[in-house]
Amino acid sequence: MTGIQVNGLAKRFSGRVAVEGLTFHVRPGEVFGLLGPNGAGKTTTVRMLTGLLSPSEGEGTVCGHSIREGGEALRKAVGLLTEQPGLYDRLSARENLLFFIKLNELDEAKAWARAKGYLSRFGLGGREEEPCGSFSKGMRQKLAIVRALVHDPQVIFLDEPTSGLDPESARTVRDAVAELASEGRTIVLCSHNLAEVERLCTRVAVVKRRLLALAPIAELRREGSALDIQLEGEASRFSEALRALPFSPHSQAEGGRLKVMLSEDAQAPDVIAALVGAGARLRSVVPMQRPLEEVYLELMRQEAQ
Amino acid sequence: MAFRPKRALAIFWKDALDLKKNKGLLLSMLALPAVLVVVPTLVVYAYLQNPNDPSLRTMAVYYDPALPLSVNAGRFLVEKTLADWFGLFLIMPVFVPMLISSQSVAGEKERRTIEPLLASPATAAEIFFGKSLASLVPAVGITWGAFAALCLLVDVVAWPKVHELLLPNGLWLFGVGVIAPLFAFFGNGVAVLVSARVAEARLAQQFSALFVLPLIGLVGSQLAGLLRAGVLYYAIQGGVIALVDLGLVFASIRLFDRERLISKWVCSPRAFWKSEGPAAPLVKAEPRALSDASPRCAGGSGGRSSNRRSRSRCGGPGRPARWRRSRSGRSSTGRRR
Repeated sequence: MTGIQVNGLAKRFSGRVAVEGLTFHVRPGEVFGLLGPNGAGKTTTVRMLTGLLSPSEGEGTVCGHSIREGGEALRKAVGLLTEQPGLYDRLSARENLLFFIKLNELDEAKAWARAKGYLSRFGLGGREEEPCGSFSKGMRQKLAIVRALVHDPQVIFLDEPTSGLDPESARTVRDAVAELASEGRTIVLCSHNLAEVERLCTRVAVVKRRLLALAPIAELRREGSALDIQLEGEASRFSEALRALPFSPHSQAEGGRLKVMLSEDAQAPDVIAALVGAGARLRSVVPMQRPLEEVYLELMRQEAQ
Repeated sequence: MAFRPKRALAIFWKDALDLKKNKGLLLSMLALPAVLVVVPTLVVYAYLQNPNDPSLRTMAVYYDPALPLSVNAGRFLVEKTLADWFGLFLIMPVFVPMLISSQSVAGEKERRTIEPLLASPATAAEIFFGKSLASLVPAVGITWGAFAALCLLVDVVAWPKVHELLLPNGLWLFGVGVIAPLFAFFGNGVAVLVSARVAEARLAQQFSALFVLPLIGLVGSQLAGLLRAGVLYYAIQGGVIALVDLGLVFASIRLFDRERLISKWVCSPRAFWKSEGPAAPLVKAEPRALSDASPRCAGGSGGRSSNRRSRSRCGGPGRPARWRRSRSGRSSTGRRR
C-alpha cells in the first residue's frame, strides 16, 4: 500500500489549533494538491505525515506505515521537499547529496548515479563540486528536490516545488512530477500556484485549519458552474421563463447571449427545456467552468464569513 | 529502534566537513587555546627570571605560610601556577564543544537545515551522538594539541633555569587525559540541551557560556588561596562532572526529539526560562455553525447529494464562535524519536 490514509487528524500547539478533523486519502500514483492560505496548517499536516510531528488526535498511514509509530520506516519511505531548501551552504552539491545518501544507508555509487541523473535533468550537471552557498535561489530549490528524491521514495511531499524557479525550470520540475507519478509514486503537492495545481493534480484538499473541500479538481470547478447560451433574438425576453423554474437560476442577458448560473450540473437540462418551451431558438449551449482560483477564493470568502 | 552507527558517523562526517570549511569558527576556537598556552608560559618565564626575589617569597608565603626557607620561592610559584592553571585550562574543553554544538544544533535550526535532517531515517540518538562526536573530537584534539604546545613552550623557557622538564607532570597528564574529555562531554551536553530549545546559535552560545562561570569561580578561589589544587582536587571535580555527564546524556537524548526541535523554539532569554515554546498567538475559533462549516467532500460523483453524503465522513462539529487565548504550557503530544 503506497498511498496515504488520514482519519480525523488534528494538531494543537500549546492549546492553539493548527489543524483539526482532517480526513482524506491519496491513492498510489496520484498527484494530490494540498491548498490553503499561509498558516492554514498545510506544513503542519505534511510534518505529521512525514513523522516529524505527532498528531494530537487522529490516525494515519503513509505507505502502510503508521504516522504515529512508523518512525524510521516511515521516514525511509517518504521524500520531503521543505518550504525552505535547507541546504548546507559551505558544502558542495555533491556533499549535500552524499550526506543524505549516507543517512539512508544507500549504495553510494548507485545512489550517486541516480542523483547525477536528476542533477543533469534539472540543469545542475557539472555544478556538483560548487558550494551551495554560491547557488541561485532556483538552483538551491532544484538541488533540494534532488535531495528529496535521492533515496527513491514511494511517497513524495513537495512544498512549493516551483517557488523561485524560472518558467523553464518550473516546467522541468512539473514534467518530473508528472513522470514520478506515472512511475506509481504518490505525490502530495502544497502550493499557492493554483494554475500549477490545476495542471498537475487530480484531486485537491483545501484546508484552513480544517478541511474546507476535498474533491477532484474538475468536480470543484463544475460546482456552481454556468451555461453560456447563444440564441436568436434578444436574450432578455427569456429571463422570466428561467425565473419560473423551481431552482430560479440567476441569469445575465446581453444581446443574444444568456449566461445562466447553476448550483449543480443536473439543472442544465431543465434550463434548456424551459428556454425551448418559451420559444427560444438556441444556437449553442456551452458549459462554463470556473477557474480553480475562483473556487479557492470563494471557499476562503465563505470561511471568513 | 536500533542504533545505527553508520548514520551517526554520517552526521559526524557532515558536521566535521562543515566545521573544516567554517574558517570563522575555527579561528574563534583557536583564540582561547592560544591565550591559555601563551599566558602561563609568560608567567613561568617571569617567575624564573629572578626566583629569589623577596617579593616572590612574600607571595609564596601568602599561599603557604609554612613554606621552608630552603624552598626556592620562584620554583614554588611556578609549580603552583601550573597546578592552578590546569583549572583554567579546563575551560577550553568545555568552551570549544559549546561553540561547535551551538552551531551544529541551533545553527541547523537557524539555517533551516534541521527539517530535512529530521525527516531522514536517522534517530534522535544517532543525531545526538553524531553531533556530539563532531564537537568532542575537535575539542579534545585542540585541548591535547594546546597541552603539547604548552609543555613545549614552558620547558623551552624553564630549561635554562631549572634544567629539568616541568611539563608534562602527573597532574597534567591525568587531567588532560581523563578530566578534560569529561569536561568536553559536559560542554557538549550543555550546548546540545540549550540548543534544543533556542532558535539561534548566538543565543545558544550565550546561554551555554553561563555554565562556564562556576569553573571560573573555582579557579578564582584557587588563585585567592581559598582552594588548593592538586590531583585529588581535580579527581573530585572529574568525578562530579562524570556524574553530571551521565545525566546530560540521558536528558539530551530525551529532549532531542523531532517535535521539540521543530516546534519549540524560543527567541529571547526571558522565554527560555519561562515557557516551553513560542508565545501562542490569539486564534479565532471556528465561528460557523455545523451546517455552514462542513467541508465539501466529494467522491466520484458530483452534485449536492453526494456532498451531503460525505459530510459525515469529513466534517467535524463546528465550535461556538468566540475568541480565546491559547494556553501556554507543555504540549500533550508524544515525543518522536
